[in-house]
Amino acid sequence: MCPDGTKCRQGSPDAPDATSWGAWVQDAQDAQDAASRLGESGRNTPVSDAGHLFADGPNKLQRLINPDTLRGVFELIYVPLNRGAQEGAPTDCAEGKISRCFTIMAGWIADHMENVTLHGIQSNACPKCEVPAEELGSRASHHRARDYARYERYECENPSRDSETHDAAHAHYTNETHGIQRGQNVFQGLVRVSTPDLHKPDMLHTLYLGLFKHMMDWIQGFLKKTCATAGLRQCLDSFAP
Amino acid sequence: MRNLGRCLLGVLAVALRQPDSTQVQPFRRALTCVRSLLDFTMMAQYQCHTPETISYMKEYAMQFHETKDIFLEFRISKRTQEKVDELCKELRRQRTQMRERVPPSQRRRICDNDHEGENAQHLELIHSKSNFNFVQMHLISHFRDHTHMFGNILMYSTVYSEFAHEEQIKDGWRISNKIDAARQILSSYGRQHAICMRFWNLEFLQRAGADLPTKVVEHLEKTRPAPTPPAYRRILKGRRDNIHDVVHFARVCNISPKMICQELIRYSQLSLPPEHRLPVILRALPVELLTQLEIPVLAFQESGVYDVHRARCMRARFFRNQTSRNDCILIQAGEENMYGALRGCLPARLIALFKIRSGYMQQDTVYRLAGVQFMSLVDSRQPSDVHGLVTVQLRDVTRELTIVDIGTILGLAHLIPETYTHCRWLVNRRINLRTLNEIY
Repeated sequence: MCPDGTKCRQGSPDAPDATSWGAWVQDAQDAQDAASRLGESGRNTPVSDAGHLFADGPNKLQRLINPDTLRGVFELIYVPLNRGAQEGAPTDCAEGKISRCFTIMAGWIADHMENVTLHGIQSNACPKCEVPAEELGSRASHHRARDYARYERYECENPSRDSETHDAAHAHYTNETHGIQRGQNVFQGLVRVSTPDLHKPDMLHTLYLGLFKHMMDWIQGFLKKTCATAGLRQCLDSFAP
Repeated sequence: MRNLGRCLLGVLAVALRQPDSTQVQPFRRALTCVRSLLDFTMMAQYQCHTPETISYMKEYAMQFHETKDIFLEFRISKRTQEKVDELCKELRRQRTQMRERVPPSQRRRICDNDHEGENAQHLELIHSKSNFNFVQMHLISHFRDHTHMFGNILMYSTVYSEFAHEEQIKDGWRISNKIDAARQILSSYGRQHAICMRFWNLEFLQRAGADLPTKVVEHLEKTRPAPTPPAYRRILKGRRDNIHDVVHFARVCNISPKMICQELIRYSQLSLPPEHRLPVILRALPVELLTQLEIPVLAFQESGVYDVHRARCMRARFFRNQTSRNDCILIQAGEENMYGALRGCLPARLIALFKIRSGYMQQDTVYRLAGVQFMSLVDSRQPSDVHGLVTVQLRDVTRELTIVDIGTILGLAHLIPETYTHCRWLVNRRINLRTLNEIY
């Protein structure tokens, strides 16, 4: 029985493989178990169990594990998702028919710093486009969309990026110009997914806690400069309880 | 921060209402900048979009970028501040050396000139070194394209997932003993979730006609939430027991009984059909005085979702041990082409909320009424071209009391006091999306 009170899918005899959803769930559980095992062997800091690590929140997760481990964990999680995106699964539909549905990731809702970690970009870079850091405040909005596959190819073609060679200088140019830390986007390789489109606009962190907060600082400075702070305070105090 | 954004423009417009000759342009530019960002935010909250609303988003973003330079000097970084301080020290040193060579009679004039030059140099340095290059400033440029491709922005916002932290983590942290809290948080939330699922399953089984034990059925009946009344009715609350008739009501409200009777007659003649009019002798009619009116207001772009506005009229009584509260409301006072930008609505201050019965019998009609004092529009009835808000005021010639049916009350009006001496207010249209779209 499902939590919303509806009956669970029992599997139709007409369906070619009606237990695919169950198989997916099993795959997901296997992936989770594997992630736990990976966590015990591959993390920088040992903790009692993997569930503990995830429960402590994303900040601690980011601090504890390095990008390679993060990517390894995500690859394990994506195993059932990729299978669903490639092969699809027969699904009972409302009109009584069975359709083949494909699980395709359409978005990843996160704040900017989480996106920085997941997309492997620098903190002053945009996950969607290749806007240079010095043009973030400009009104121009038509910068080239990010192509993480190209970055990865670049990384593969220039493996000695840390050495003092011409290639290293070239790779440095790429990283700095495009605002990427390393060619390590955890979403790279997902089937049928446009990685830049996974980033979604966030009202809370972009507007309310981002621009509004900045704007309040500017307004305070402006009012102080024009000696109008008292009027503002008087007006705010006059609001009804 | 979101609630601050709703009233920010009105408050800023009041704070900057008296510019001197040199401040007119900066104030106008600052207000335009804030206004365009707030309008952009309001547009981003729409659940349904048209090409027009999407173009508005682009227009507001452009306007914001064009006018944001007014705040550039407040984007000063620590490094720039250090440079400004160094420049300041250097200028002072040079000035001291200059003054030693100048006779004392000329020093004051030179000093004034130096200050002006110093300020100009500071500003030039700050403007050359400061910028708006931070990532949130750029991310808003993707809002329009994203809306065009994937739909409204609100459904992708982290606002709702952040709300989940309250139930999933913070509540568990509060009830834990703070020792090994992570494990306790996990187990308590898991237990609550399992119990909730068990309830849903049992309710489904009960609806499906399954044979459940009597104790389970009794428990389900006990824990089932009471049916809520329909949200679309206006409800009067907070009855005061010591009011008997119109005369007593007038004494409590500190209004002459004659005026109340006149207004009741006017209301009866203008608003009620002949067969339902109030009787001629009004003074002894039974009256109930109330303190709160719940007004359901249909949420913007929704069909069955209502926001409940609670208008309070406490008269001289304190509200939550603070000052008394007599809210301002919006009343449908005429056709849409009346009252300029307010489109048929007028703000008014609540004087009293009451019920009056046309007789002492049970079958007599009950009228649910409100005593209000209407405000009038100032100037040309159009919004200001600087901040885009309409100003209203209470005039001396305004009638002290007007009686209206509570059905004509549209909701709470958010008024920001402009001046205290002339009783003028700005009607805040950015308090919610419905007001933004429907009032003006």
